[in-house]
Amino acid sequence: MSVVERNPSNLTREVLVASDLTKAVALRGQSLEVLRGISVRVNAGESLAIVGRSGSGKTSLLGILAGLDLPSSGQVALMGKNLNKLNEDQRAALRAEHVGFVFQSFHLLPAMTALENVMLPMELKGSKNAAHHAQELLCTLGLEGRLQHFPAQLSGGEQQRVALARAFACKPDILFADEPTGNLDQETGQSIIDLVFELNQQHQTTLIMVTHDEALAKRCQRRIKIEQGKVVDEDGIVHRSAVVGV
Amino acid sequence: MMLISSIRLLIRQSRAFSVRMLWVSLALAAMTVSGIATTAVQLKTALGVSSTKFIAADRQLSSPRDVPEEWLETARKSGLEVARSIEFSSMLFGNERFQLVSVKAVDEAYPLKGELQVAGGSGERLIRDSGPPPGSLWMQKRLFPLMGATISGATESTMNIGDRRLRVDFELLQEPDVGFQMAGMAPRVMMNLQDVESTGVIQPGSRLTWRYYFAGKPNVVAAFEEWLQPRLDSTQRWLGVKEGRPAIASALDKTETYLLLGGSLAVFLACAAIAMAARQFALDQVNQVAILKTLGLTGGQVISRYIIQLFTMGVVSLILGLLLGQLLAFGARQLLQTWVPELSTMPAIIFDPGVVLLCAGTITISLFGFALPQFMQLRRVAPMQVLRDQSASLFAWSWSSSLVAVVSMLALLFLYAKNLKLVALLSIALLLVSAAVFVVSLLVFSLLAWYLNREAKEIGALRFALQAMMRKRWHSLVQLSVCSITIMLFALMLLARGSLVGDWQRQLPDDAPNHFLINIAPNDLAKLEGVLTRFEIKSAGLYPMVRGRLSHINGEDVKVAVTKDVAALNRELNLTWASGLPADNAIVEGNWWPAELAGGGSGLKLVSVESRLADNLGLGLGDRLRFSIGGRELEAQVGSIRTVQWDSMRPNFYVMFEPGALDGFPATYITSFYLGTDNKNVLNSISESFPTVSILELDQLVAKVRQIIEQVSLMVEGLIALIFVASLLVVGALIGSQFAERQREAALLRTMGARRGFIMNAQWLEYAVLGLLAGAIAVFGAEVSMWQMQKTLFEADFSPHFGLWLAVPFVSALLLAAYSYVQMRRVPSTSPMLILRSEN
Repeated sequence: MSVVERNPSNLTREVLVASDLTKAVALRGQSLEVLRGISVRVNAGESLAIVGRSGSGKTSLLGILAGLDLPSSGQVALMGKNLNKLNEDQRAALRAEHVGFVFQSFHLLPAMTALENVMLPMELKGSKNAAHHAQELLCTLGLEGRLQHFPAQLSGGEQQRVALARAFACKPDILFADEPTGNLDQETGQSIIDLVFELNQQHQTTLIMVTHDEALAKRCQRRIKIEQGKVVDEDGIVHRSAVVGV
Repeated sequence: MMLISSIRLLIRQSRAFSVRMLWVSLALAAMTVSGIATTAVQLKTALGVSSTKFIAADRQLSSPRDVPEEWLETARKSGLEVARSIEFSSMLFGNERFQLVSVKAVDEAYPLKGELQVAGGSGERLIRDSGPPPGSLWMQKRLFPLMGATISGATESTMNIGDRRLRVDFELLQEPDVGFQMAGMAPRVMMNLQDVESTGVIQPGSRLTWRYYFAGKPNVVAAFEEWLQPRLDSTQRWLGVKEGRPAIASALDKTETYLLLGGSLAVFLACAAIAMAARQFALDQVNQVAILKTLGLTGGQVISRYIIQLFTMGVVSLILGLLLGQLLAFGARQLLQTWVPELSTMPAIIFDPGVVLLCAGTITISLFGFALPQFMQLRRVAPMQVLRDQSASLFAWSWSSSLVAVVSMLALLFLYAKNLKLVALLSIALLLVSAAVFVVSLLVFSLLAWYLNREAKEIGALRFALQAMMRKRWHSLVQLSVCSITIMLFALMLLARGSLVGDWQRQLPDDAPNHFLINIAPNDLAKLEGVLTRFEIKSAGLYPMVRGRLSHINGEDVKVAVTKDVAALNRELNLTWASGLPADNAIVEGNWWPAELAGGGSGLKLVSVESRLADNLGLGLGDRLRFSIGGRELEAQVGSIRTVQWDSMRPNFYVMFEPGALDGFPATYITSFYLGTDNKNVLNSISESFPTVSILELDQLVAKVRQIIEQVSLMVEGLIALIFVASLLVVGALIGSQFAERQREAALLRTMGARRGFIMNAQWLEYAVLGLLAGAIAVFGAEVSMWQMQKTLFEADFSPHFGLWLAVPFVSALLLAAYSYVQMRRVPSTSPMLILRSEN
């Protein structure tokens, strides 16, 4: 990640453009439409909350926006690259370069310690000083006493902080968060969210977060609400270039 | 970079149960192969060395006349050691007594292999590596009282053979190449070859046996053998270890087959454990692969990492396995050293390149045949998995990966056993068991369904266990198959062991005959029986013996009728008659003195011919054989063909006549019996009372064969222990793979209020039922395979093992229940909260 791209003057650059996304899944021989024509634009440095009830399609949308899955129709451009035209391996390479994730169920590797979990993405990229960086990150998040603990030995909040450290380890341009507080109590969730926004600020990262927590959503600059696969509401600061709608 | 990070990842992952299991299974496979192959190599070498003692050389040539000096020169020039001896019968006289003896005159080089054992005046056993010096005579113990000779005291005895006077130095206790000729065996004396000429007993036309001994490097021996064999005529016999001692050769062959069978089974089980551990490892990786993909790794990169990891595991476990295998072989060597002293001279570490290659091949095939297909599935894990669990659609049973596994297994077995028949038999057995498992499981599950559908007042632990099996019907089917096949292989090994070792020991029980009496005159019979009874000796029965030569087959001269060189045609055969079939003979064609043939039709007397001789001569039922007996001729018709247990140490005959057929021909009788070492004096009483009777002492040969059997039994026990460990590993992998799921289930049950005891009971009961069913199916499979193996590999009769039908299902139920109890005992007591947390 070069310094130029982190320059605030680049902030209005669109990092994510999705238009007219649909997603149909086959369920017991019947086709079920989980997304029905959704368009989203997000600028660099923005924070966007995708809210909606369970089964509204918000996780499917997040998967498609992050390039984990492909839409049935419609286009997604992430960091200026049309995801539809990339194969799975090319999308993986794009993720490696630009994307970080935080999940509701943390998804730490159970056989690795907290430190090793954070080191993993850096090691995969071949970064030097992975251990040092990881340690630094974990200390910043208040986990200096937990470096050699395995996920099962950590509380939920601690696990999510390790997951956050892992997500920020490679300094991503966009952070996708799927219900990051869904498995945490209110107080712990609050502290995690504070951390997310703090890191987001620090690293000038774009944040796209799925949540059903209205309070949490309100902390994002923009929100879209999804019901039955469609955007039913949107609010927040609307940039000239960030048009959200059906 | 990828290499280092992959290996680092592997080290971290090695904390997981499935990865540890994979490590252990891989190392076990390598250890088994290297241990058994090394043991087999060293034992074969050692037994080969010890067996050469039976012919006092690596090869022996016997000839009725001396061979061209050029032959011996060629052997010496190529680097072989050469020794020679002459055997003949002569009168020994001294102290005004006479005795017919069998003389063996040996040169200074004799024996090339093995040793001579003698006793001096004090009776102490001494080892000599060469025969008597010129002027000296060694005599068998029995001869001393017969000849009034002594080697103690001031007066030294001298004896005459022909014109030559010889000093009696030692009592001859054992010579390495003691013969096994049935007739004309007189007490043995040994002298120096140089003295033979001065005896003057060898005249043109004397019946002599010249023996030439050769020893040297195996390849040189083989080259000489190739050079020599075309030069031999039909009267000369070329002996290797196998020809020299058929009983030992067949013991060696069976040992090798058994070792290979046991090794194949152990390797097969280790492969099953590898496949299961790899599957579990791969399953555990689904989430990790998805996470790695979200972190930006491509499918190819992920698979490459796993290939690197598998390769690393392969190399490390190969090295580990080779080392452990050496330890195993070393242990086996220590254990067997007492019986096979040649083992102690071997180097501490034997890295046979063939063994290393075999090991590397095993690991490669098992990794790429069993483990890799499981990991290839990971390629298809979608990164979306991190947001939504889709793993159920992965790891479905696939034809291609099953085919890869089956082909790999067959390749592995073949690589290992190099025995197509064995591999084919095992495959058929496995196929049969799989089919049986399927049919029986379907039956059992329908029965269970019927039982569970009935109304029940309260849900007991057993009912719950059965319901659990039914819920996971396909999973239970897999479990049942794996357990059945594992137990079957183990049971098969036990059966094969029993059949091998047991049969040998039955053939050669402690009181197996080890002495033969030959040339018993008919009028001595009653008196001899009296003597045997007096000494409480139980004989194997008295058989009449008429010596005759087979001259014509169906009216045609045998030299014309039979083109093959059959040794039996070059000498007189021992013919006998009997009304009943000897205990260790079995009819393979025709009937034992069938009424419809006897006396009817051609009016010829009937004979029963040994099956191998019949094969060699191309004889079938109804063929007419003409024998020349003491100048008279006798024509008979083949009424049956039978197999003979040549290693039973009882009198056995190639040709047996119906009773009365040999009436009027001069017959002597033969018998055999067991005599302990401290009872040897009986022989003197016999030889004093019956001077014409020849005594053949085979106690040392019998002891040697029994020793080999003991060695083999011991190795077999070791093998079984190894297979047991492999089986435990398989079952461990099976139960271990269930651990996480069981934990989840138990947590849920506990949140719903199930008591700890209930969960425990349901768990072990489920495995007990599984063990019971698997045990029953396994016994069925093992019996069928054993039946086939007895027929084709070990050439023995099969009888069902009813004890096993009861024991195996019971024991396997008990073991599985206990094993699951121990392995899962923490499951019900784990706090549900902890499980729910680790779920996240």
